[in-house]
Amino acid sequence: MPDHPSKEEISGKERSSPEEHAGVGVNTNDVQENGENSGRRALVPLKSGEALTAQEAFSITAASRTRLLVIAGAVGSGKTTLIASIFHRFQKGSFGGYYFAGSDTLVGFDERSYLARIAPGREVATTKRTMPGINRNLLHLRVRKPDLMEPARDLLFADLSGEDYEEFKDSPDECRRFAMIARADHLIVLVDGSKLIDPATRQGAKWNAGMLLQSCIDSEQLGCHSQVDIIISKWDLVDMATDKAAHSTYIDGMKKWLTQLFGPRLRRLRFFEVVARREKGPYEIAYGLSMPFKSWVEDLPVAAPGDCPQRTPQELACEFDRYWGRRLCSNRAGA
Amino acid sequence: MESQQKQFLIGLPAHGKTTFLAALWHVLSTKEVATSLEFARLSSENKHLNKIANLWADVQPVKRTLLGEEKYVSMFLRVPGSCHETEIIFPDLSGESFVDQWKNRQMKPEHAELIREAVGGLLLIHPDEVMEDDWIPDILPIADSIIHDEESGSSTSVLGLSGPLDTPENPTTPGWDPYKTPTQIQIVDLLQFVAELNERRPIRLAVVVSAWDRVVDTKSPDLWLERYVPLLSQYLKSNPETFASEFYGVSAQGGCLKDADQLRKIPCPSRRIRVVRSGDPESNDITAPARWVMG
Repeated sequence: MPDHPSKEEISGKERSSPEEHAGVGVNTNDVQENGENSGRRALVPLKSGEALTAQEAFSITAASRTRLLVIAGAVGSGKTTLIASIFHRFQKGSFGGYYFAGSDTLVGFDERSYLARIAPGREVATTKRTMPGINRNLLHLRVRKPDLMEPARDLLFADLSGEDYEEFKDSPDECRRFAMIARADHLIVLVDGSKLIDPATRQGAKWNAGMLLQSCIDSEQLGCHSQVDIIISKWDLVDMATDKAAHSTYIDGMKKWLTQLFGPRLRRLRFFEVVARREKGPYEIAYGLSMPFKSWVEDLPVAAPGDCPQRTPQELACEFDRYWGRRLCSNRAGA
Repeated sequence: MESQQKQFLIGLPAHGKTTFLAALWHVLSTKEVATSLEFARLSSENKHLNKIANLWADVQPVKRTLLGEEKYVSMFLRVPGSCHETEIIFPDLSGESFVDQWKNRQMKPEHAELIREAVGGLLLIHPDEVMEDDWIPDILPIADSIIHDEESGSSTSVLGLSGPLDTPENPTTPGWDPYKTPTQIQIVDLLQFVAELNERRPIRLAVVVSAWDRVVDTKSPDLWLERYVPLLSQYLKSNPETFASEFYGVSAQGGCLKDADQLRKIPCPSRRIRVVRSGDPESNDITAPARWVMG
């Protein structure tokens, strides 16, 4: 006979009928639904599958060199949609040259996607908004190259609310309190393409992106080690606009302005045009994201010799640099 | 000589677990066709298996296992030509119990124990029961697909009508329903539970695409996975250290129950079964997946 527990062992009761004991005869329904009754065995808890807090993500970050991607942008710029679109693409096949290899937050991904899904009576696709002040905002993705020559790589997406973005751009002090930007391997700033094609909103959209970078630099959350990508979201609206040439000129000007101001102060500043979920035109989901996604997986902000200017011990005294100094040391030790 | 081996059996509701067990028991007990595992002797209790196998043989609907009717079944088997008997224990759990794992994030202790002790197991997927993640922009004509993004605050209907704002604060917004999560996401998470509980590496997993007679556009079960459940396919390919997997297409009933009269005309019920594995000729050997899991 097998050595799994009998019904009597589980419930402490006599068998009620032979019908219940077909096969080797354990009816599992007698197991109580929680562990309150000490005479019965408790259900085995499984991982919640929801988005994680920084503490909960420790088991992932402690086990592997996890890539932390902080996604920032104004309310409505499409941060959550961007993350959901990447996961959606993995549901259709490999993406950015990588296979999906697992996730501790599948519930979290699905909670952020379901309103875009075809359903009876649903005519519009939406994305559930990230609410401000919720610190359960980390989504986990594990990916691996199809040749399996290297181990899988873990990514954590920090899904920030637009309200947090507003606070950080307005106040270096607020920005400093949010240590996650300093720890990010990639800061991804979304600029809403629909705002850039509207003369009534485009200056603000451009200015806000600049103010966020300025605030992060002033609060020493960003520096010469930092890799920043500016994503112009909803690019379909720009590309399909009637006066596209004029919009492109404006957007090129914005890129130049940001590059001149912040390029020399960062390790890398790039721009991408992305359609996470199209409103117009022949764009696939997560259009324009394949290339940046690949580099988010592969490019680590390991400073090469000479990348950062030499600093005095006094300059290294701030908290951020102490963190970065530790990280450099660990990278060198790892190498 | 005798040994014991446990194998888990995973499948969401109506994915063919009980029909598979019924056909397996019929083939083993009648010895009508050559198989890679053969029946050695009866275990002490066979009522449930006999009941479902009888229904299967007469092409009657084999009632799905419901919550509260769950069983563990054992079979004493041996490899042909060997005198070594192995008792294989399968759980015949309801599909709802697996949905319950996904939804409530907890597992019955005896099932967790079986997974911890199992050498591996079978995962059944019914091709007609796969819920996909189709986004509205995926399927609507491009010209009509003007979509509202809740974050933007603007709203234009896909069909050109104004749509209501689907905000979390809006009481008309439907909440997240775990029962509507795409099948492959649920299955990947069930396998992640298995990986979390079972420390054997690699865990042998036979993926069985059930109702293989319903698949007309794909030649092999591994290609079917790539095409219809690519997230699961990628997960298995990228985790060979965790799961050693093999793929089978199995038509346990041999066809649809609406064609029962035709199926009953086949004199030997075991010959209704169709089993496909990439690179192998088609056979009636429904024991092949369990034999492969044994190692």
